[in-house]
Amino acid sequence: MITFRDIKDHYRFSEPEVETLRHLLPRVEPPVGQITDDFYIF
Amino acid sequence: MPGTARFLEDDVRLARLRQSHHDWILNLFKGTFDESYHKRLQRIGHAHVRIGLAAHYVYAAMNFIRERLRLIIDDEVDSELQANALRAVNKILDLNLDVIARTYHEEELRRVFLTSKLDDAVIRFAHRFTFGLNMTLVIGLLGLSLGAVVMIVIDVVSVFSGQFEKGLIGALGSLLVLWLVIELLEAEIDRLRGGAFKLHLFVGVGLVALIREELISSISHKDITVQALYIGGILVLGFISWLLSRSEGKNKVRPR
Repeated sequence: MITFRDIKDHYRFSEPEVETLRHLLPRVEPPVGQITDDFYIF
Repeated sequence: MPGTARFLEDDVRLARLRQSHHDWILNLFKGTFDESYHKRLQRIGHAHVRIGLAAHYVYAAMNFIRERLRLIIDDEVDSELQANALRAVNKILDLNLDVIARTYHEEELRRVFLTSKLDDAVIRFAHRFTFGLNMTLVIGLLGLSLGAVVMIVIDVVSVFSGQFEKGLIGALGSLLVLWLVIELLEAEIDRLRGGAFKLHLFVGVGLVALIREELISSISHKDITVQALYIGGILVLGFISWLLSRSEGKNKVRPR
């Protein structure tokens, strides 16, 4: 059975990319409510 | 999207879904991508499958989120960092889609497997049941052939006990019945061995029954109209039987 580690390896999802995502959190957090609202009227 | 409207009619449910999506988007950026995260994604997938949401809407939703996150990166991230940010976002969204879509495939496989198992069981049962019915038919035909033999014996006894005409005609009728039962029995055995279904034999059943009735009515001096009807029926059924035999590749009765 395929593990999540396998999936991450297959996508070459690296630790620097995890860090990049963490740094994006403060930019994404404020508009995420609006994204969710828009999603439900999409 | 019209296909998703029926899932969003209940306000309480809608609020819960909004919160779940809000949390799911934020979790894309929290950096804890372990087995527990994997299990959470699987639960999301199973929840979608369970409510009957088509996979198409999951892909469409993911495309919507991807586009909105791309716009945020365009607006909020320094241009030299945008490519890396976009690559990381695309990867985590693809990872999510991979796991969620996998639950759909697993569910589909499970359904196909169950359907195929059910199909096999029904076909196996139908085979056994048909075999049982065929065996019943063969046993019934064997019983009928024994009955026809008994009828011939009774008719022969009648011949020797002074009822010559009745016994002789009756024996002829019984011989016809026996001949027909033998034909049916052989046809059934042939069919069980993979041979073709022989429709002309069933017309033969009617034909023999009419011939026997005509034989009996001739000695019991029935009305001429009744006898004419029997003869007419014999001619019609004889013609049909002949046509069917020809179409089934039998121009004449096989020699015994």
